[in-house]
Amino acid sequence: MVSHPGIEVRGLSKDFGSVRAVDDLTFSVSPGTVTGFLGRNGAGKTTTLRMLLGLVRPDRGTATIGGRAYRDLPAPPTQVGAALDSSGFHPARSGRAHLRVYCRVIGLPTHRADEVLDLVGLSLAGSRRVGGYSLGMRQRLALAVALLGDPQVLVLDEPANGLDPDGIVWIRRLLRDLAAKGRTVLVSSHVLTEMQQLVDRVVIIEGGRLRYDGALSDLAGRQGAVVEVRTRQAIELRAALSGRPGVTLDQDDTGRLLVGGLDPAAVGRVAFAAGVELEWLAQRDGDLERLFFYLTAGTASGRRLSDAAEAGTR
Amino acid sequence: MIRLVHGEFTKLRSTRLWLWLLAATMGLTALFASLNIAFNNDPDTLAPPLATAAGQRLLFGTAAGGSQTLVAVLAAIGMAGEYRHRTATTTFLVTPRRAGVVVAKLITYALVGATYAAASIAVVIAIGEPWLSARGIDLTLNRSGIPATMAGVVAAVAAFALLGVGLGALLRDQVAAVVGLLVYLFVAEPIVTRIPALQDWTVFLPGPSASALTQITLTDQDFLQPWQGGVVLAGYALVVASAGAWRTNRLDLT
Repeated sequence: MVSHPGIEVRGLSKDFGSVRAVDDLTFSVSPGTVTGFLGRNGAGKTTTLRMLLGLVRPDRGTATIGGRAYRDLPAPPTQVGAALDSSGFHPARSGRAHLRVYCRVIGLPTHRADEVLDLVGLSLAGSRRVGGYSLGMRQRLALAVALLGDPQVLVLDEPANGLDPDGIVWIRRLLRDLAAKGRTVLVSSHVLTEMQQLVDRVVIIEGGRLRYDGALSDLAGRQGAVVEVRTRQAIELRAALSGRPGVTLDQDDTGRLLVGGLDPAAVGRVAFAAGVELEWLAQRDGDLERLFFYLTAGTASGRRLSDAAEAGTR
Repeated sequence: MIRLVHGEFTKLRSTRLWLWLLAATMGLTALFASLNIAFNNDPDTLAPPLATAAGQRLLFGTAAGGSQTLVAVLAAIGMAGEYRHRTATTTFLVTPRRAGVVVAKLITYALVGATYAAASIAVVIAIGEPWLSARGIDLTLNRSGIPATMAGVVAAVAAFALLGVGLGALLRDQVAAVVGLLVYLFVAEPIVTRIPALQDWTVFLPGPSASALTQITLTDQDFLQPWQGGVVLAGYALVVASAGAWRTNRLDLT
């Protein structure tokens, strides 16, 4: 077994009835990185992760971890830990008993259950029935199951969903610690800002298709920084700036002009040459959230329906 | 496989259902055994006298009824409960070769069934021994056919456990599996087995096969030989369990 296995997804597709949940999806996750798997609810993230983990059978394509399908790994839970479902617990069973079941099956000593409970901050609640747990506690327990076999690869589906702000800070810190120890982490979310300080790379999907695969910093660079300008002579400034190669012009809802492709000094020089008086000139950093919205809203529900109809008539 | 079975026992012990159903099983057996003894003196009864080996075989056969049904219910809940509580995701992540989980449950619940059957036999002895000795009758365990009846009870209950696991895997809906099981055993089967024209066929149903195996052949119906009943029952268990394992393996867990 490779000590640092990566994840490879090649041409993965899955239909549920007439709806194409995942459509010819290809991406890879390098060993030892934290990759954000982003998309809106219903974009196909969960189906993709479940195909990767052998829970859902793909119609076409392959998904491998360290070069092998999940079910062909020699001892899956000690190599790949997964938290997919924060509701997958028997309500009458205690958190500790739930973990001990899987300790037995994996062949770990039962005190490993207490270690992971401690790791996720559930030591005190471990002997209580899961039926009385809050959503945040169940998310932590799901993560504890994933960590049980001390795996090199972690696959987490919306682990921050429903967590309070404290919980989000906690999980971000935990995942960063794991990444610092060289673990490969694939973590899905529908909220980009949850990921911003955590991930090295992002894979963005919508309607089951790949929309972006690359470094988070490149994504920010693609949107680019813009220069914010406020002036009473907006028409004159627009005229002076338009037509220059690589320059984009836009206006935000407060009436400020947004100039892309130039730095503030260059915008100032153009304004000076055109005799335009400026009231405000400032650099604004790339707006990831807006770009994420743009990338994922490009295929609104109307288009997905037509995709589904297309798939049905094929 | 030992680890998987160990895990299944840990699951079973971590909730109290097995204890409640064991208590209910022993209660039902106590009821059936008491009725059997109380009405044995009734002049209208078809039952052979309790002083005879045949009468005592029938008394030990009362250990099967309650345990068969409740073990099948426990086993069906043990399998279908994985879907109801969505623990199936984690279970099949930890054991991606899913048939292994089904086989582990078959082994676990067959052993649990044997335990329930043994407890029920103990209840029959605890009630029958003092009651019969008050009537001046000895309850002799090594009498002709009685060890065979006890073995038949254990085998029949274990087979019903296998049927329960298989049914739970096939239906995946805990309520449907339990209700289906109870409706079949208490409504459908008793009705069809009383239709004389069908008796050539109904002897092969699971209930009558189990009765043949435990030698509770009291009524005027025909039954198979005990060994035939055992073979038929094992056949049902094998078919239902295999179908359940096959279905489990193909399933998309979304």
